Amino acid sequence: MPAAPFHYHVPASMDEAVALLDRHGHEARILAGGQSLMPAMAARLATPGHVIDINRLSRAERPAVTAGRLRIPPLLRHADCTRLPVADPLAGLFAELAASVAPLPVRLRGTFCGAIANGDPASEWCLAAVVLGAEIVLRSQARGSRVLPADRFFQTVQSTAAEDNELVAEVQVPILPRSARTGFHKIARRTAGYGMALGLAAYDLERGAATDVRIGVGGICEVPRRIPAAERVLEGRPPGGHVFRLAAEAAADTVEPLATGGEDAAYQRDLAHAAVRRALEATL
Amino acid sequence: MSPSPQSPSPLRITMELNGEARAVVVEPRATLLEALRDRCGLHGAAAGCADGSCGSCTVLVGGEPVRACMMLAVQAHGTQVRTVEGLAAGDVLDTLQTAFVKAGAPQCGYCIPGFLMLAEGVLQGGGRLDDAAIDGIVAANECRCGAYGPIRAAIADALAERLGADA
Repeated sequence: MPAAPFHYHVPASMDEAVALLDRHGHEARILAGGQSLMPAMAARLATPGHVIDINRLSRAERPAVTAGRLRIPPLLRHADCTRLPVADPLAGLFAELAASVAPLPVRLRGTFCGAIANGDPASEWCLAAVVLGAEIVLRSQARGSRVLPADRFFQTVQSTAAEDNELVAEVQVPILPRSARTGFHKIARRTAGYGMALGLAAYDLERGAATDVRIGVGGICEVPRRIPAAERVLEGRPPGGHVFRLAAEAAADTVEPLATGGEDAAYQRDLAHAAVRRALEATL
Repeated sequence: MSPSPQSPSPLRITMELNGEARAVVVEPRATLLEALRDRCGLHGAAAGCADGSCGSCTVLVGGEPVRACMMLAVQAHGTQVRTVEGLAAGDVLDTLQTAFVKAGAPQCGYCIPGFLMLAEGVLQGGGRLDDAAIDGIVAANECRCGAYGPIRAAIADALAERLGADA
Protein backbone atom coordinates (compact mmCIF):
# COMPACT_ATOMS: atom_id res chain seq x y z
CA MET A 1 0.00 0.00 0.00
CA PRO A 2 1.19 3.60 -0.30
CA ALA A 3 3.29 4.83 2.58
CA ALA A 4 1.59 7.08 5.13
CA PRO A 5 2.08 10.75 4.19
CA PHE A 6 5.26 12.42 5.35
CA HIS A 7 7.23 15.63 5.05
CA TYR A 8 10.40 15.18 3.05
CA HIS A 9 13.68 16.84 4.01
CA VAL A 10 17.01 16.95 2.21
CA PRO A 11 19.67 18.24 4.61
CA ALA A 12 22.79 19.74 3.05
CA SER A 13 25.04 18.73 5.94
CA MET A 14 25.30 16.18 8.71
CA ASP A 15 24.70 19.01 11.22
CA GLU A 16 21.43 19.79 9.49
CA ALA A 17 20.48 16.12 9.46
CA VAL A 18 20.94 15.70 13.22
CA ALA A 19 19.16 19.01 13.85
CA LEU A 20 16.15 17.66 11.96
CA LEU A 21 16.33 14.41 13.93
CA ASP A 22 16.44 16.38 17.13
CA ARG A 23 13.43 18.48 16.17
CA HIS A 24 11.26 15.56 15.05
CA GLY A 25 12.52 12.73 17.26
CA HIS A 26 10.53 9.53 16.96
CA GLU A 27 8.48 11.00 14.11
CA ALA A 28 11.54 11.07 11.87
CA ARG A 29 13.45 8.38 10.00
CA ILE A 30 16.71 8.64 8.12
CA LEU A 31 16.48 7.61 4.45
CA ALA A 32 19.81 6.37 3.09
CA GLY A 33 19.59 3.42 0.67
CA GLY A 34 15.92 2.90 1.47
CA GLN A 35 16.14 -0.84 0.82
CA SER A 36 14.80 -1.58 4.31
CA LEU A 37 12.86 1.62 5.10
CA MET A 38 10.88 1.77 1.85
CA PRO A 39 9.33 -1.73 2.20
CA ALA A 40 8.67 -1.00 5.89
CA MET A 41 6.83 2.19 4.95
CA ALA A 42 4.92 0.39 2.18
CA ALA A 43 3.72 -2.12 4.75
CA ARG A 44 3.09 0.74 7.19
CA LEU A 45 5.30 -0.98 9.76
CA ALA A 46 7.06 2.38 9.76
CA THR A 47 4.95 5.53 9.57
CA PRO A 48 7.33 8.45 10.06
CA GLY A 49 5.83 11.91 9.69
CA HIS A 50 9.24 13.15 8.53
CA VAL A 51 11.74 11.46 6.22
CA ILE A 52 15.28 12.83 6.22
CA ASP A 53 17.01 11.95 2.96
CA ILE A 54 20.78 11.98 3.48
CA ASN A 55 21.72 10.97 -0.06
CA ARG A 56 22.98 14.45 -0.93
CA LEU A 57 25.68 14.35 1.75
CA SER A 58 28.56 13.71 -0.65
CA ARG A 59 31.14 13.73 2.12
CA ALA A 60 29.36 10.77 3.69
CA GLU A 61 30.48 8.38 0.95
CA ARG A 62 34.20 7.83 1.43
CA PRO A 63 35.66 5.17 3.69
CA ALA A 64 38.89 5.93 5.50
CA VAL A 65 41.56 4.05 7.42
CA THR A 66 42.84 5.51 10.68
CA ALA A 67 45.00 3.84 13.30
CA GLY A 68 44.33 0.28 12.22
CA ARG A 69 40.59 0.76 11.81
CA LEU A 70 38.42 0.85 8.72
CA ARG A 71 35.98 3.73 9.09
CA ILE A 72 32.72 3.24 7.23
CA PRO A 73 30.63 6.35 6.48
CA PRO A 74 26.80 6.52 6.25
CA LEU A 75 26.54 6.40 2.45
CA LEU A 76 28.94 3.56 1.68
CA ARG A 77 26.78 1.26 -0.46
CA HIS A 78 26.95 -2.53 -0.16
CA ALA A 79 28.42 -2.64 -3.69
CA ASP A 80 31.21 -0.24 -2.62
CA CYS A 81 32.34 -2.77 -0.03
CA THR A 82 33.93 -4.83 -2.80
CA ARG A 83 36.74 -2.30 -3.19
CA LEU A 84 37.74 -0.91 0.17
CA PRO A 85 41.10 0.77 0.91
CA VAL A 86 42.29 -2.17 3.02
CA ALA A 87 44.35 -5.29 2.41
CA ASP A 88 43.33 -8.93 2.60
CA PRO A 89 41.96 -10.77 4.45
CA LEU A 90 39.53 -8.01 5.42
CA ALA A 91 39.17 -6.82 1.80
CA GLY A 92 38.35 -10.30 0.54
CA LEU A 93 35.95 -10.97 3.41
CA PHE A 94 34.05 -7.73 2.83
CA ALA A 95 33.81 -8.43 -0.90
CA GLU A 96 32.36 -11.85 -0.14
CA LEU A 97 29.88 -10.45 2.39
CA ALA A 98 28.86 -7.65 0.00
CA ALA A 99 28.02 -10.13 -2.76
CA SER A 100 25.91 -12.10 -0.30
CA VAL A 101 23.82 -9.22 1.09
CA ALA A 102 21.26 -8.90 -1.72
CA PRO A 103 20.82 -8.84 -5.50
CA LEU A 104 22.60 -6.15 -7.51
CA PRO A 105 19.97 -3.37 -7.56
CA VAL A 106 19.66 -3.57 -3.77
CA ARG A 107 23.46 -3.57 -3.38
CA LEU A 108 23.77 -0.42 -5.49
CA ARG A 109 21.54 1.60 -3.19
CA GLY A 110 21.49 -0.07 0.22
CA THR A 111 24.18 1.00 2.69
CA PHE A 112 26.41 -0.69 5.25
CA CYS A 113 25.46 1.79 8.00
CA GLY A 114 21.80 1.47 7.08
CA ALA A 115 22.02 -2.29 7.65
CA ILE A 116 23.67 -1.65 11.03
CA ALA A 117 20.97 0.84 12.01
CA ASN A 118 18.27 -1.63 10.91
CA GLY A 119 19.72 -4.31 13.19
CA ASP A 120 18.42 -7.40 11.41
CA PRO A 121 19.96 -10.52 12.98
CA ALA A 122 20.33 -12.03 9.49
CA SER A 123 22.39 -9.11 8.18
CA GLU A 124 25.91 -9.91 7.00
CA TRP A 125 27.21 -6.55 8.23
CA CYS A 126 25.62 -6.84 11.67
CA LEU A 127 27.24 -10.26 12.08
CA ALA A 128 30.59 -8.97 10.84
CA ALA A 129 30.41 -6.01 13.23
CA VAL A 130 29.89 -8.33 16.19
CA VAL A 131 32.46 -10.94 15.17
CA LEU A 132 35.17 -8.44 14.26
CA GLY A 133 34.60 -6.25 17.33
CA ALA A 134 33.45 -3.15 15.46
CA GLU A 135 32.32 0.04 17.16
CA ILE A 136 29.24 2.03 16.21
CA VAL A 137 29.53 5.81 16.31
CA LEU A 138 26.19 7.47 17.04
CA ARG A 139 25.64 11.16 16.52
CA SER A 140 22.96 13.50 17.81
CA GLN A 141 22.60 17.21 18.22
CA ALA A 142 21.97 16.83 21.95
CA ARG A 143 24.89 14.55 22.81
CA GLY A 144 27.40 14.96 20.01
CA SER A 145 29.03 11.61 19.35
CA ARG A 146 29.09 8.46 21.42
CA VAL A 147 30.59 5.09 20.65
CA LEU A 148 29.17 1.65 21.39
CA PRO A 149 30.71 -1.75 20.77
CA ALA A 150 28.61 -3.73 18.30
CA ASP A 151 27.65 -6.42 20.81
CA ARG A 152 26.06 -3.73 23.01
CA PHE A 153 24.50 -1.89 20.09
CA PHE A 154 22.23 -4.71 18.89
CA GLN A 155 19.62 -5.37 21.58
CA THR A 156 16.98 -7.55 19.95
CA VAL A 157 15.47 -8.14 16.52
CA GLN A 158 15.69 -4.85 14.58
CA SER A 159 16.09 -2.94 17.81
CA THR A 160 19.29 -1.14 18.66
CA ALA A 161 20.64 1.14 21.36
CA ALA A 162 20.31 4.19 19.06
CA GLU A 163 17.98 6.81 20.49
CA ASP A 164 15.28 8.40 18.31
CA ASN A 165 17.39 11.52 17.83
CA GLU A 166 20.59 9.65 16.92
CA LEU A 167 21.91 8.43 13.60
CA VAL A 168 24.69 5.97 12.80
CA ALA A 169 27.46 8.36 11.77
CA GLU A 170 30.22 5.79 11.29
CA VAL A 171 31.16 2.19 11.94
CA GLN A 172 34.76 1.46 12.82
CA VAL A 173 36.09 -2.03 12.06
CA PRO A 174 39.46 -3.19 13.39
CA ILE A 175 41.61 -4.34 10.50
CA LEU A 176 42.51 -8.02 10.66
CA PRO A 177 46.20 -8.95 10.57
CA ARG A 178 47.55 -10.21 7.23
CA SER A 179 48.05 -13.66 8.74
CA ALA A 180 44.40 -14.02 9.77
CA ARG A 181 42.06 -16.49 8.12
CA THR A 182 38.37 -15.83 7.55
CA GLY A 183 35.44 -17.93 6.42
CA PHE A 184 31.78 -17.16 5.73
CA HIS A 185 28.76 -19.24 4.86
CA LYS A 186 25.13 -18.31 4.43
CA ILE A 187 22.19 -20.69 4.10
CA ALA A 188 19.32 -19.10 2.19
CA ARG A 189 16.54 -20.14 -0.15
CA ARG A 190 17.73 -17.78 -2.89
CA THR A 191 21.17 -16.69 -4.04
CA ALA A 192 21.90 -13.49 -2.11
CA GLY A 193 18.52 -13.94 -0.44
CA TYR A 194 17.42 -13.50 3.14
CA GLY A 195 19.65 -15.61 5.35
CA MET A 196 18.20 -18.49 7.33
CA ALA A 197 21.57 -18.93 9.03
CA LEU A 198 24.93 -17.22 8.66
CA GLY A 199 28.28 -18.38 9.99
CA LEU A 200 31.36 -16.18 10.18
CA ALA A 201 34.73 -17.32 11.48
CA ALA A 202 38.07 -15.56 11.86
CA TYR A 203 41.27 -16.50 13.60
CA ASP A 204 44.95 -15.78 13.52
CA LEU A 205 47.56 -18.50 13.24
CA GLU A 206 50.58 -18.86 15.51
CA ARG A 207 52.88 -21.82 14.87
CA GLY A 208 50.01 -23.72 13.28
CA ALA A 209 47.52 -23.10 16.09
CA ALA A 210 44.42 -20.89 15.87
CA THR A 211 44.49 -17.85 18.14
CA ASP A 212 42.09 -14.97 18.74
CA VAL A 213 39.32 -17.22 17.48
CA ARG A 214 36.07 -15.54 16.57
CA ILE A 215 33.02 -17.57 15.59
CA GLY A 216 29.64 -15.93 15.10
CA VAL A 217 26.16 -16.91 14.02
CA GLY A 218 23.46 -14.77 12.42
CA GLY A 219 19.83 -15.34 11.59
CA ILE A 220 19.30 -17.79 14.44
CA CYS A 221 19.17 -15.70 17.62
CA GLU A 222 17.55 -12.34 18.28
CA VAL A 223 20.86 -10.64 17.48
CA PRO A 224 24.01 -11.83 15.74
CA ARG A 225 26.24 -13.41 18.37
CA ARG A 226 29.73 -14.72 18.93
CA ILE A 227 29.64 -18.23 20.38
CA PRO A 228 32.32 -18.47 23.09
CA ALA A 229 31.75 -22.20 23.57
CA ALA A 230 32.62 -22.80 19.92
CA GLU A 231 35.58 -20.41 20.05
CA ARG A 232 37.06 -22.21 23.07
CA VAL A 233 37.02 -25.49 21.15
CA LEU A 234 39.28 -24.08 18.44
CA GLU A 235 41.43 -21.68 20.47
CA GLY A 236 45.02 -22.89 20.62
CA ARG A 237 44.43 -25.91 18.37
CA PRO A 238 45.38 -26.52 14.74
CA PRO A 239 42.44 -25.73 12.47
CA GLY A 240 40.97 -28.71 10.65
CA GLY A 241 38.06 -31.08 10.11
CA HIS A 242 37.62 -32.76 13.50
CA VAL A 243 38.04 -29.59 15.57
CA PHE A 244 35.70 -27.74 13.24
CA ARG A 245 32.99 -30.35 13.77
CA LEU A 246 33.38 -30.10 17.53
CA ALA A 247 33.16 -26.32 17.36
CA ALA A 248 30.03 -26.54 15.22
CA GLU A 249 28.45 -28.92 17.73
CA ALA A 250 29.24 -26.54 20.56
CA ALA A 251 27.61 -23.73 18.59
CA ALA A 252 24.47 -25.78 17.92
CA ASP A 253 24.22 -26.75 21.59
CA THR A 254 24.58 -23.25 23.01
CA VAL A 255 22.68 -20.96 20.61
CA GLU A 256 19.28 -19.71 21.72
CA PRO A 257 17.15 -19.93 18.56
CA LEU A 258 14.38 -17.48 17.86
CA ALA A 259 12.28 -20.29 16.36
CA THR A 260 10.07 -17.96 14.31
CA GLY A 261 9.32 -17.68 10.62
CA GLY A 262 8.21 -21.30 10.35
CA GLU A 263 11.46 -22.83 11.52
CA ASP A 264 11.43 -24.76 14.79
CA ALA A 265 14.25 -24.56 17.32
CA ALA A 266 15.74 -27.97 16.47
CA TYR A 267 15.96 -27.06 12.78
CA GLN A 268 17.56 -23.73 13.66
CA ARG A 269 20.18 -25.52 15.76
CA ASP A 270 20.86 -27.75 12.77
CA LEU A 271 21.19 -24.69 10.53
CA ALA A 272 23.58 -23.07 13.03
CA HIS A 273 25.67 -26.25 13.08
CA ALA A 274 25.92 -26.31 9.29
CA ALA A 275 26.62 -22.59 8.94
CA VAL A 276 29.40 -22.68 11.53
CA ARG A 277 30.99 -25.86 10.17
CA ARG A 278 30.97 -24.56 6.60
CA ALA A 279 32.27 -21.14 7.61
CA LEU A 280 35.15 -22.82 9.45
CA GLU A 281 35.90 -25.06 6.49
CA ALA A 282 35.99 -21.97 4.30
CA THR A 283 38.88 -20.61 6.36
CA LEU A 284 41.20 -23.30 4.98
CA MET B 1 1.00 5.46 15.66
CA SER B 2 2.08 8.99 14.97
CA PRO B 3 -0.67 11.58 14.39
CA SER B 4 -1.13 12.44 10.72
CA PRO B 5 0.95 15.45 9.72
CA GLN B 6 -0.51 18.38 7.87
CA SER B 7 -0.75 17.27 4.26
CA PRO B 8 2.79 17.65 2.91
CA SER B 9 2.96 19.83 -0.17
CA PRO B 10 3.12 18.11 -3.55
CA LEU B 11 6.47 18.28 -5.31
CA ARG B 12 7.13 19.01 -8.96
CA ILE B 13 9.93 16.83 -10.24
CA THR B 14 11.61 16.78 -13.62
CA MET B 15 13.53 13.96 -15.19
CA GLU B 16 14.66 12.72 -18.57
CA LEU B 17 12.39 9.74 -19.17
CA ASN B 18 13.33 7.47 -22.08
CA GLY B 19 15.17 10.37 -23.66
CA GLU B 20 12.46 12.97 -23.23
CA ALA B 21 12.14 15.72 -20.65
CA ARG B 22 9.23 15.01 -18.33
CA ALA B 23 7.69 16.81 -15.38
CA VAL B 24 5.38 15.19 -12.84
CA VAL B 25 3.72 16.37 -9.67
CA VAL B 26 3.88 13.87 -6.82
CA GLU B 27 3.39 13.64 -3.09
CA PRO B 28 6.66 13.11 -1.22
CA ARG B 29 5.58 9.57 -0.36
CA ALA B 30 5.10 8.52 -4.00
CA THR B 31 7.53 5.87 -5.16
CA LEU B 32 9.22 6.07 -8.55
CA LEU B 33 7.15 3.02 -9.52
CA GLU B 34 3.89 4.79 -8.69
CA ALA B 35 5.03 7.89 -10.61
CA LEU B 36 5.94 5.85 -13.70
CA ARG B 37 2.74 3.83 -13.71
CA ASP B 38 0.16 6.33 -12.44
CA ARG B 39 1.54 9.66 -13.65
CA CYS B 40 3.47 8.69 -16.78
CA GLY B 41 1.28 5.88 -18.04
CA LEU B 42 4.20 3.44 -18.31
CA HIS B 43 2.93 0.08 -17.14
CA GLY B 44 5.89 -2.14 -18.03
CA ALA B 45 7.36 -1.87 -14.55
CA ALA B 46 5.09 -3.90 -12.26
CA ALA B 47 4.30 -4.01 -8.54
CA GLY B 48 4.80 -7.72 -7.90
CA CYS B 49 5.56 -8.18 -4.24
CA ALA B 50 5.08 -5.08 -2.02
CA ASP B 51 8.36 -5.79 -0.21
CA GLY B 52 11.12 -5.11 -2.70
CA SER B 53 12.00 -8.74 -3.27
CA CYS B 54 10.70 -9.62 -6.75
CA GLY B 55 12.44 -7.07 -9.00
CA SER B 56 9.54 -6.77 -11.48
CA CYS B 57 9.71 -3.01 -10.95
CA THR B 58 13.34 -2.71 -12.07
CA VAL B 59 14.17 0.35 -14.18
CA LEU B 60 17.38 2.24 -14.92
CA VAL B 61 18.19 5.46 -13.07
CA GLY B 62 21.40 7.13 -14.15
CA GLY B 63 22.19 3.91 -16.04
CA GLU B 64 22.00 1.75 -12.91
CA PRO B 65 19.32 -0.89 -12.27
CA VAL B 66 17.05 0.22 -9.43
CA ARG B 67 13.94 -1.30 -7.89
CA ALA B 68 11.52 1.53 -8.51
CA CYS B 69 9.27 0.48 -5.61
CA MET B 70 12.11 1.22 -3.20
CA MET B 71 12.98 4.66 -4.52
CA LEU B 72 10.97 7.79 -3.91
CA ALA B 73 9.87 9.59 -7.08
CA VAL B 74 11.40 12.78 -5.70
CA GLN B 75 14.77 11.01 -5.57
CA ALA B 76 14.62 10.66 -9.36
CA HIS B 77 14.42 14.43 -9.80
CA GLY B 78 17.14 15.56 -12.21
CA THR B 79 18.05 12.03 -13.29
CA GLN B 80 17.86 10.01 -16.49
CA VAL B 81 15.31 7.24 -16.19
CA ARG B 82 14.90 4.42 -18.69
CA THR B 83 12.07 1.93 -18.70
CA VAL B 84 11.25 -1.06 -20.89
CA GLU B 85 9.12 1.18 -23.09
CA GLY B 86 12.33 2.93 -24.14
CA LEU B 87 14.21 -0.16 -25.32
CA ALA B 88 12.68 -0.64 -28.74
CA ALA B 89 13.19 1.90 -31.52
CA GLY B 90 9.62 2.24 -32.69
CA ASP B 91 8.65 -1.27 -33.80
CA VAL B 92 12.21 -2.54 -33.91
CA LEU B 93 13.14 -4.64 -30.86
CA ASP B 94 16.62 -4.22 -29.44
CA THR B 95 19.18 -7.04 -29.07
CA LEU B 96 18.06 -8.03 -25.58
CA GLN B 97 14.38 -8.08 -26.43
CA THR B 98 15.07 -10.12 -29.57
CA ALA B 99 17.14 -12.59 -27.56
CA PHE B 100 14.35 -12.94 -24.98
CA VAL B 101 11.77 -13.65 -27.66
CA LYS B 102 14.04 -16.10 -29.46
CA ALA B 103 14.71 -18.01 -26.24
CA GLY B 104 11.01 -18.27 -25.43
CA ALA B 105 11.55 -16.40 -22.15
CA PRO B 106 8.27 -14.43 -21.96
CA GLN B 107 5.49 -16.64 -20.58
CA CYS B 108 2.94 -14.55 -18.70
CA GLY B 109 5.22 -11.59 -19.33
CA TYR B 110 4.97 -10.10 -15.84
CA CYS B 111 8.64 -10.38 -14.89
CA ILE B 112 10.05 -9.61 -18.31
CA PRO B 113 10.35 -5.80 -18.15
CA GLY B 114 12.20 -6.09 -14.84
CA PHE B 115 14.58 -8.72 -16.20
CA LEU B 116 15.14 -6.73 -19.40
CA MET B 117 16.03 -3.54 -17.54
CA LEU B 118 18.24 -5.39 -15.05
CA ALA B 119 20.09 -7.11 -17.90
CA GLU B 120 20.29 -3.86 -19.86
CA GLY B 121 21.80 -2.10 -16.86
CA VAL B 122 24.40 -4.80 -16.39
CA LEU B 123 25.24 -5.32 -20.07
CA GLN B 124 25.59 -1.65 -20.90
CA GLY B 125 28.38 -1.49 -18.34
CA GLY B 126 30.39 -3.35 -20.95
CA GLY B 127 32.88 -6.13 -20.47
CA ARG B 128 32.60 -9.85 -20.14
CA LEU B 129 30.36 -11.49 -17.62
CA ASP B 130 31.34 -14.86 -16.23
CA ASP B 131 28.83 -17.61 -15.47
CA ALA B 132 28.56 -16.51 -11.84
CA ALA B 133 27.70 -12.97 -12.91
CA ILE B 134 25.01 -14.19 -15.32
CA ASP B 135 23.66 -16.47 -12.60
CA GLY B 136 23.53 -13.42 -10.33
CA ILE B 137 21.33 -11.54 -12.80
CA VAL B 138 18.96 -14.46 -13.20
CA ALA B 139 18.76 -15.04 -9.45
CA ALA B 140 18.06 -11.37 -8.72
CA ASN B 141 14.44 -11.30 -9.88
CA GLU B 142 11.49 -13.64 -9.51
CA CYS B 143 9.79 -15.38 -12.41
CA ARG B 144 6.71 -17.09 -11.07
CA CYS B 145 6.29 -19.01 -14.31
CA GLY B 146 9.69 -20.56 -13.62
CA ALA B 147 11.22 -19.59 -16.97
CA TYR B 148 14.67 -18.99 -15.50
CA GLY B 149 16.28 -21.35 -18.02
CA PRO B 150 15.17 -19.45 -21.13
CA ILE B 151 15.78 -16.12 -19.35
CA ARG B 152 19.35 -17.17 -18.62
CA ALA B 153 19.86 -18.38 -22.19
CA ALA B 154 18.54 -15.07 -23.54
CA ILE B 155 20.90 -13.00 -21.38
CA ALA B 156 23.91 -15.14 -22.29
CA ASP B 157 22.93 -14.91 -25.96
CA ALA B 158 22.54 -11.11 -25.84
CA LEU B 159 25.88 -10.79 -24.05
CA ALA B 160 27.62 -12.86 -26.71
CA GLU B 161 25.97 -10.78 -29.41
CA ARG B 162 27.14 -7.52 -27.83
CA LEU B 163 30.67 -8.80 -27.34
CA GLY B 164 30.70 -10.00 -30.93
CA ALA B 165 29.45 -6.63 -32.14
CA ASP B 166 32.20 -4.84 -30.21
CA ALA B 167 34.95 -7.17 -31.49
